[in-house]
Amino acid sequence: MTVENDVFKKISMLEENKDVAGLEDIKQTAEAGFEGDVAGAAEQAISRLTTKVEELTTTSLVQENQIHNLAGNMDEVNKSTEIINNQIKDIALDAQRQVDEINNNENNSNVEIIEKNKRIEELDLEIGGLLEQITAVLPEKMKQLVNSESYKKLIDLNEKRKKEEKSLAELYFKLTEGDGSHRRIHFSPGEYGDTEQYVNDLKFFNTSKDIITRFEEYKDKFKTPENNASNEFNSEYRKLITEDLWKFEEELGSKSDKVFGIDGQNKEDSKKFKQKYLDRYQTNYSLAQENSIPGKVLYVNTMGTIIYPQK
Amino acid sequence: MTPEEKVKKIEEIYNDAIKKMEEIGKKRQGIVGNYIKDLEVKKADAIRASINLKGN
Repeated sequence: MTVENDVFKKISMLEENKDVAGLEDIKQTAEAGFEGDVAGAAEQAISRLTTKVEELTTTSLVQENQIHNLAGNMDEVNKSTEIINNQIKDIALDAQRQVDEINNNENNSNVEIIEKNKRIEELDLEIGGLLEQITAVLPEKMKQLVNSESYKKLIDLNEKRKKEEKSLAELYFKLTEGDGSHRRIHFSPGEYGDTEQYVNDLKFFNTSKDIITRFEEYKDKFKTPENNASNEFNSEYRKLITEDLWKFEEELGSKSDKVFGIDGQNKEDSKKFKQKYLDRYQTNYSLAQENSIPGKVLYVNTMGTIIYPQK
Repeated sequence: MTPEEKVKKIEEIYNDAIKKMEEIGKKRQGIVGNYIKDLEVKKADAIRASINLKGN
């Protein structure tokens, strides 16, 4: 009797006995089996893992409708499931890497693969612990930063500058009314933009000297103090947050390269491993920010707002 | 490792990953389920409050 016939016989018996759990087992075994050669099996495994990730990290349409009908917000659901979704994706990525390794490295012995995977699991635990350490203190450090004098000064100057820009814009439009040929269509000196052209326009309209002086001095009035406050704040930010991240990146880089190797596919695997942890840091950073200092930005410079610390 | 052993190993890795993912997937379901329950409670409270207001 062939294996196939054995399976059919077993299914018939289970159906007769109404053994649902047994039938479920058979179904799972059938689903877990792969057909074809190593490359085919690897391809099927990766494809099924991808489908499973999609299935497990997606909120069903029925639930989405329920949430919508109960005046809930899908953004809230997405935020609260983000970490879990990442964990699911990480497991799939790890499995994919192991499958790729078997598929790509024909010469690797079973023992070598098992040993390497063990080292990777240990590294995963170690780096996970380090990440936990540096991100657990983020909320407290963020609170310290937004309560610092340099942050308050920076935000205060930023607000004052915006107010002055608004006032200058209104003044400019009022004083240059009636002659489109000598007026810039949009008044937008924002972030210390060049005011020379506005000053020339105002001179054409014989605007009083004190108003022209106000336009001329606008840049210097804010630029230097805001840059000073920004430097001071960045230095505190660096001490409290960025230095930890740099140390973490360094540790992650050297250990990952050591365990994975730095050639060919190994280099790619090491890169994926590192990226996985940097993405996790980013997620934890955003969550810490949302939870500890909601609605506030942490790093402000003259080019706008940067939330993620840059090296 | 022979090709058969490799396919078997891939199956093991796959099954192990699916098991772990489903375990975590249940937690996700729990989070979404609890969120919906909370919304239901809030809605029920709102309806109750509105009935009380009309009653008064």
